[in-house]
Amino acid sequence: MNLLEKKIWDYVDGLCTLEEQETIKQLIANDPVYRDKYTELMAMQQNMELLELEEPSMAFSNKVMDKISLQSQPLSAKVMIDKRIIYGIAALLGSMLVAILAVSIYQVDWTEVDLNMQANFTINYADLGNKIQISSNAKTTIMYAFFMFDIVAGLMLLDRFLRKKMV
Amino acid sequence: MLSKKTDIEIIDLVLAGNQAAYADLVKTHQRYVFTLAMRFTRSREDAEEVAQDAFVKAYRSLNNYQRSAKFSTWLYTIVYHTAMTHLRKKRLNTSSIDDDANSLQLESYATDDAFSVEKKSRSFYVNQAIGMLLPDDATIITLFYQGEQSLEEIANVMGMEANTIKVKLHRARHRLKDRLQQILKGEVKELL
Repeated sequence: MNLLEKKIWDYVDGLCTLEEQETIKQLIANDPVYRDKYTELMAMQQNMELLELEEPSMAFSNKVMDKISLQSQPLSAKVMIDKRIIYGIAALLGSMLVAILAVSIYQVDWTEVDLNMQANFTINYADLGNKIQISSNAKTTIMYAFFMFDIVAGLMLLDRFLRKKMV
Repeated sequence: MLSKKTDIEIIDLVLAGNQAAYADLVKTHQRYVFTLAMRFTRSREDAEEVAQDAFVKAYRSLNNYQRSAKFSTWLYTIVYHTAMTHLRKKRLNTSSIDDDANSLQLESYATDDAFSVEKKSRSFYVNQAIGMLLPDDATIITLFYQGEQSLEEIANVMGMEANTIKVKLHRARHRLKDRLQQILKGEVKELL
């Protein structure tokens, strides 16, 4: 395909800059080679615009809807996310925050409050560490439980993925 | 008078649980989807199968539709990939007009007096010529002229750069002109 044809198609499709558009417009008006090519391509363009869409069978949409009735409902993220899960996570985070605050307040040495009512809020971390120390057996159990949860969650995800692939 | 619902409004209804609303989306887009499928399969039965599969896949993935693009662009992407998979499965002969079988077909079009330009609409011949192009060329022309998609949107559908699509569109039109000339021989001047 020559450059001339490409230029004129860009002009017809409205894909050139205003400057190029003006130049090609002038060339079409004054140059018979450009004018002939433009007439030829415009005839082609009109044919393309006349193209009609193919019509599927009358029962097409019914057939699609029949197939769709066998599918599970696609739901938006809003509908899919159970609010109880959100509230559960919020409650867990809230209770952790309250527990940390409670331990912190418990660690405050209230006897060292001076006359200006300024409490000494130093926390004895070493002591705190001893208090919340977990035995090595408990640690192993927690680790096993954590890994078990991960494996089960992973298998569930894999199952869901494979089901989707199968359908 | 009740106004026609937009694609987005219908999608919201479907995602809220109204499965029947999807029929409106199917009715709006079925001709475009079917035409696009025809460009690949070249048979009505296969095209119906591809088009139905595409609508079912679109339904299943409706919650993944990002509203940044037009719904039609997203839907055509699904049709394009479904049709490509169908082609691979069926191992259809997707070669161009250059092979012997197609040449014979052309011969019959050119010599059959019953198929004169006067008797057949221009649309018929152009459609015939599009049907003889490679599926990618036919898809670009269909999306550009019938699907009213921009070069960027076609690039999204076909997973290519917009500039590549622009070059391919030029080439596809050039090949289409050649096919028309082959079909109509001397009569092509009347059509072009």
